[in-house]
Amino acid sequence: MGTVLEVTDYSLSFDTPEGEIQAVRNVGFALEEGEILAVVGESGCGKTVLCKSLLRLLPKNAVVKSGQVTLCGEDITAYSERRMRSLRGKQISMVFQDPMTTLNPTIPIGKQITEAILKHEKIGKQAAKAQALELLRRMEIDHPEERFEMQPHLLSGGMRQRCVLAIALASRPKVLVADEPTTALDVTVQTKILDLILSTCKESGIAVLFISHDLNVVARIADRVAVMYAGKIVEIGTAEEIFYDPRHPYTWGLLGAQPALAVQTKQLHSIPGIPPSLLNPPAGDLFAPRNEHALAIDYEEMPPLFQITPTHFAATWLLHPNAPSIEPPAFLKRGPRR
Amino acid sequence: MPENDHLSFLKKILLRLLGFALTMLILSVVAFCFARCAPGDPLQSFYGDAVESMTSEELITARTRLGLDAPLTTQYVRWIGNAFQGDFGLSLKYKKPAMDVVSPLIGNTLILGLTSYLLVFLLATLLAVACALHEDSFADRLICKIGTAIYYLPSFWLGVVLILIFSIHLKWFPSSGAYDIGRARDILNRLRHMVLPLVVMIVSHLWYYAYMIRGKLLDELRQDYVLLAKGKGLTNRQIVWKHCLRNVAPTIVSIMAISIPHVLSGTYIAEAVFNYPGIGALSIESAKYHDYNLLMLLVLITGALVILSSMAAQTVNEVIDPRMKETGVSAWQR
Repeated sequence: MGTVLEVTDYSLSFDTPEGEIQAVRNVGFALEEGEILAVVGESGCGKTVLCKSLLRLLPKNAVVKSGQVTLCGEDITAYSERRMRSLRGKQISMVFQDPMTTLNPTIPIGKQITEAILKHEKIGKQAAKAQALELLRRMEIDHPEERFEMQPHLLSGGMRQRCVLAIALASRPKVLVADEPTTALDVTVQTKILDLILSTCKESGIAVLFISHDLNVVARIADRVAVMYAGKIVEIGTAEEIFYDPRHPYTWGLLGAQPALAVQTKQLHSIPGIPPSLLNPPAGDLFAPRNEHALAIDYEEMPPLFQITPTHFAATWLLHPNAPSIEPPAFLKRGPRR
Repeated sequence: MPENDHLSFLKKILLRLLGFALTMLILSVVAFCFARCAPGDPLQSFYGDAVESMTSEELITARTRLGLDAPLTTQYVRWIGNAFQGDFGLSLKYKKPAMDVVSPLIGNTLILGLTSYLLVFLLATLLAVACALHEDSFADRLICKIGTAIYYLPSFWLGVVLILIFSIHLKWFPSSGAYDIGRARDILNRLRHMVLPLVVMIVSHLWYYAYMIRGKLLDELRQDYVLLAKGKGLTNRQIVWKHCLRNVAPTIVSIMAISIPHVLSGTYIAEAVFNYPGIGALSIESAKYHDYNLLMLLVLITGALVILSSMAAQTVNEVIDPRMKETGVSAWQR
């Protein structure tokens, strides 16, 4: 298994009239073939910006400040728009949050799919149509021939997301970026779409960067999980490690804030405070003001990523040898289920 | 199912025809009353200066003869009865049937109006696409500023300046008329006469519509589906032409439909400035001379054009975007 996407020390800012907004700060991760990496975090922590910047879909005022993006062994950080276009859809494609608005309302879905195929492959219209129908069948859409001619408004939300997925997978990309693909959907439809993403990607070895704030969804689908806070990855590890042995206080907070836990404890935990503004952020750990375990050094210096296991890293001073030992909250104390 | 579709289609056509007839009827009543409320004496235009030397008895006889003495309702009923038989009455000024006055000129106006109408929207769309593709660039901002400035040039003034430069000084184009005498069928000759009026028409309407379409396109470019299209690897150009323009098309068609009176009124001014024989110049004249019958005919022609074009726009919109099909349910009831 080779690495298909590698992001190293990647920072991205928006230049606005008010100043520089540091939306993504020193992010690094690698994505193996066929692997599903989930990125979780609160709204506004930079998940979507990170995704869109990988495909370079951001407005012009988004500027890469440092780092590299390597896709299939090639450094694409400095690629021109023209070269990026040849990658989009072909090597890396994206599924968006709301299937109600991401399809063009006036164009039959079949045409929107063949458009994606014809863009990257030199084949005839008939062959493209055959491929699109095959794709629709693979996305488990019944009566694909009839649906092919339909406008999006005649399809249900789940059906539309299947079409969006078909478009994203049309040219067999190596990396699929899924930005909360199930958030706008009904819960029963959610699982079906998740299973579909899981099975198709595992079958064809497509690596998935899966954005979500729903930990149940993440638990179902992810091989590895990265926790993002204020534009930074604060903890990254296998799903098992993140869910059963979390080390960062923010991860504790996120896991503790699940409604499912509240059923047991009759109390819904929440993380105090609000996410910080990324406009001229202060020095130190940005989570410190909301962290009950914050140390003095948290306000002065940004914690580095401490390694816990070969796959598990967390950026908190609590992992420093000199730090006091703090027990994770009681509700997290359950051994990994085998 | 198909039979049912067929029936509902027929029903729809019938309903629209009924609506058309009703609107025309109301229009005729309003125009009839308004024309007669305007101050002035139609006898002046019929008899010219001779009116001043006529005795009051002669004036009364003249009025009776022209049917102007009856009460307004009687006059209207008489007029509409004749109109249904295809008789739109005499033109008071030209002293021949109103239809005969209008029919030779209507072609001239239609040629000028239609050409400028199509050119205005073609150029407006192209300009809007060019601006939207380079949004907020120097070129876009420059075009916006120049466009706005040019839009506010009064068209009658522009017409006169154009005549001064291109007809009098350079002698490239004729300054008036629709064609040279005896060359009504010579297309090139007609075109040469149309160039200057067309320029005036286009300059005075272009930016208004280009700016509207540009705004619509920019709204459209901010939609989510544009990101998906970009994610497919499409170029900006492909996205604007194949996706956005298609979605803006219903708006453009609607704007085109409601702008018919606007562009038509533009032809009226161009016709007046360039002395172009058409129904625009004729309308102004008929209103000025209280030429009731001629005015009514012209109002009805213009009204029919406007209503028919908005109906055509509705049909075209339904073809482009099937969501617009009338369901008989208003948006509020859904």
